[in-house]
Amino acid sequence: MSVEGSTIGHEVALVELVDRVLNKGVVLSGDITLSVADVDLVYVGLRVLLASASTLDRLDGE
Amino acid sequence: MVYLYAIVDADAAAPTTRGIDGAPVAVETHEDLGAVVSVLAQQPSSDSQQAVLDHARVVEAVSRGSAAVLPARFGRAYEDADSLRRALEAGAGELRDALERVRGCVEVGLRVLAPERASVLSPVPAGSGRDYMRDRLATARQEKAVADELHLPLAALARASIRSTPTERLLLTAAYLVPRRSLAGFQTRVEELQQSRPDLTLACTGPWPPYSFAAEAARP
Amino acid sequence: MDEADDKLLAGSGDLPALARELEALETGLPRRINADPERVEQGLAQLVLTLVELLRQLMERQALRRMDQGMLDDEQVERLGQTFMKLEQRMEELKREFGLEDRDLNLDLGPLGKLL
Repeated sequence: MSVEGSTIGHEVALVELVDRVLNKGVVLSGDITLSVADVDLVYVGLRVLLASASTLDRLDGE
Repeated sequence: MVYLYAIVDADAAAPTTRGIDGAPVAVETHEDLGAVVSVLAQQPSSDSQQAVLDHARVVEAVSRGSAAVLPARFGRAYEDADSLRRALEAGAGELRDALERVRGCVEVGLRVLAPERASVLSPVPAGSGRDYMRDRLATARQEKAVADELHLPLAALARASIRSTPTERLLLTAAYLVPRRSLAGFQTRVEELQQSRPDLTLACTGPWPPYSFAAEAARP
Repeated sequence: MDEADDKLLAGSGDLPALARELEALETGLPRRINADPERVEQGLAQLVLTLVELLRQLMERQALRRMDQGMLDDEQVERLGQTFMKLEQRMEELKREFGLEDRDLNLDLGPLGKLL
């Protein structure tokens, strides 16, 4: 993070920017997946489980 | 490998800014679609804050020069130009629809923090379970009402919006797809709402390229 | 200059608190689960408590929804309330015991994103 822009507003905007770049945006098929070698497959499974749990939670509320 | 920053119209001009690792940026076309890309020798690591900012810079530059941009998520690369072309072919219909959805628009983000909850007493008093639940329900209803108060007027001004409550502490997280020409009016409305609720902590950020609207149609 | 300059259109209130909440939720630099052998216990506690916290939040939301719809009787509401309160307290104790903050209970799975 740059020194010049280190106001709290800039900090918030930076987090918002990085969140968008990392977590949003279009994903096409057939790409080279990022190296997930150092993320244990247990966590992949957990992530799927928990995503389903919160989808159930959301659907239940609709 | 071919690193993808965004999808644009085929006639979009390539930005002059450099991309990740200083690589030049070009627009590869496929029929009426364009892919904003760099050729890279190795994959960027998602640990690299600089690569993330480089990606953001390229997408921002593209969106300044082009009315319709679908920002790509960070870290997607293709083995070669053919592989990318196949991916564009496979997704062409959806990509065209998505480009039209976002044409002429920017994204505005809104985050509203919920007031802090009091900690529970220790030890937990007997017979207080109902009070706790009643308080929690009242708080949840209040927070939903506040979130609606802020979100609904803004959603009405936007072409599309997405909203969620990702954590207990975030009363509202929302993204709005706003036509560029309406941005000033939208910002004025945000300021009015902010002034009507001086008790709240909120941050409205943007204008961003439409990252949140690139991948899917907006949910209410 | 970077891409976050001039991007705050409006801001008010306790922005540092909001920034902390956002950073706990979404940070660009992935944190790994503590795999340092000296602190394996803390890493495991971090994992377990994160899951428990997630489930607690989901369950509480479910319960409140049911309560809102009038599907629970007084005794059920009382029991649920007691349970959630005790769970919250126990979580605080465990967090203190293992030296964990709220932000530690949001595991980053690297490219797969955050749990909470």
